[in-house]
Amino acid sequence: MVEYRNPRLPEGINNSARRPLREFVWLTAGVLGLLAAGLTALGLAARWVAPRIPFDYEVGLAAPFVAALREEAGPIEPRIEVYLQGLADRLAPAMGMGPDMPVRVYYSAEGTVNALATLGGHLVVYRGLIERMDSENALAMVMGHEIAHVLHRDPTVSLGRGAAMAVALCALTGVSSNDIAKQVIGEAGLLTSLSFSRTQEKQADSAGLRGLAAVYGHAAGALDLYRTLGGEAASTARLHMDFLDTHPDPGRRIQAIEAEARANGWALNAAPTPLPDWLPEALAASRARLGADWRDSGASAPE
Amino acid sequence: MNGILVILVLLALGYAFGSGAERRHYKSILEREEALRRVMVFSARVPPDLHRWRESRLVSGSVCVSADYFKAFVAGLRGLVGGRVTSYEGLLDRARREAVLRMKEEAQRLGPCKIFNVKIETASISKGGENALGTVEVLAYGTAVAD
Amino acid sequence: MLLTNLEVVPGRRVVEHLGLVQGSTVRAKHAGKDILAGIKNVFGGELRAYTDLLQESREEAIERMVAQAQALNANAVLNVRFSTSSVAQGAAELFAYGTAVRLEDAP
Repeated sequence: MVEYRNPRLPEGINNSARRPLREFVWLTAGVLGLLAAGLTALGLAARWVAPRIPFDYEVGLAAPFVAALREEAGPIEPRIEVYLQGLADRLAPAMGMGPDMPVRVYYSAEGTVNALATLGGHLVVYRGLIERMDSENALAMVMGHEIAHVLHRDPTVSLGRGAAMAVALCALTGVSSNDIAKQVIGEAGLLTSLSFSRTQEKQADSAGLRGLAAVYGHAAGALDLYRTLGGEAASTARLHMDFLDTHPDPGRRIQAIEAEARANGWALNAAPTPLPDWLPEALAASRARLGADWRDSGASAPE
Repeated sequence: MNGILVILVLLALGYAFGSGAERRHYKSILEREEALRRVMVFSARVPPDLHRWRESRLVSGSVCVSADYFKAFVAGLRGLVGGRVTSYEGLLDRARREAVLRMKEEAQRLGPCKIFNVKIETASISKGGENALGTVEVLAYGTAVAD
Repeated sequence: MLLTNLEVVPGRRVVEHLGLVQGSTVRAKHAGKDILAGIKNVFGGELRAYTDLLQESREEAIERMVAQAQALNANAVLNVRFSTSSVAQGAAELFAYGTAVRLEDAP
């Protein structure tokens, strides 16, 4: 006869989850930490690789989007564009840009207070910004800042970082890479919304200032940009201040620019070169040609 | 930002309901296991002293469970770093014991008996779904024999 | 019809082996249940609707296996096994198989 007994089993042998919340916190912190470390490494890698990519290649990358960029800028204003291009052509060599890195400037009649640099040495300057500049020097400072981004290959760094992040995200999540890659590179819209780090902006300020001083022999107008925009943004919250959105903390940057100008003996209070007489009229005409754009109303309301 | 908020709410809901349900389920499992201790189960293919038994019948019990959002999320994170997925261990442990209990409950209706050749099968029934585990069915079956 | 997953039947003797019989059914859970299950996936716990559905389907698979066995004039199916597999998103196959035999009371 067989003996049957049924002793009780101890609990918890097959279930070792004792502190689920603690495990959750550890895992989340660990994964986020790894992710942050990975992204930082990718950013540094992009920063290191970008200047080593030939500029020709960058121009080639941008080529398919130039038409879209042109279209986004609105109707062509030859006189204004030639003037802006001339300004850029004087600044670029003074900042150490060789003939192998040509800069192309587009003028947009939109009221957005902004100027931007994107892949392939393409610059867009908006009417809203020019209208707020008191002198050619102030305008030259903005353009010098944007040209410096091209010189430092910042758009390539941003794009490379974005692409690397997309690849990393795809690898982690397994989401089809097509959608993300399309978002990173495919849209011309994104080419105009590349964002740069604080360090990149600071270096661009410094290089722009050097260009300004080399062309005019002094640094007058260098602070107008942040002074005018900062003051205006504070008084009229409705204003479209894209430039300030992407270039935060104007107070600190004014200090940095002042300090650098003083250290190099560039006078900040010299007489600035005025903007050409015909410019305000041409700007107004271009605005009329653009038509009653909704983006215009916000920017021009406080006038 | 909204996405993160939704995830946090789902995590909190999953944790609150999931851990409450787990506690209650373990309590009920322990009680019923105690009540059904007389019904013994064996994985032996052939009962010993075969000639002793007169009745035999196939009995089975099954349960279909799903992980809560919190467990699935933790398991997803675990999937990135590797290691023991403790959040699912409890779930599968409960599911197996529940299936065996249901099989015992069916067998008990025959009167005093023992269950031989018990097989326990686990099947994922959310194939192709986003989460690997999702929903699992556990089936326990065997042959109940009685005098 | 006597069903067992043992290879022998206590107190009985196999007089005729009639070969393998099987029953299977593929069932899809309907959308309403799927949505409820989706909600349940947040809270976790047992999916009662699925448990019942799969249990019903398994009974149907057993019925089909028994129908085969009856067609063979068997009075028992030995060594019954079950298997569940998810063949597509939202559809599962329930499968039962065993050996059809004729039993007689042991002397």
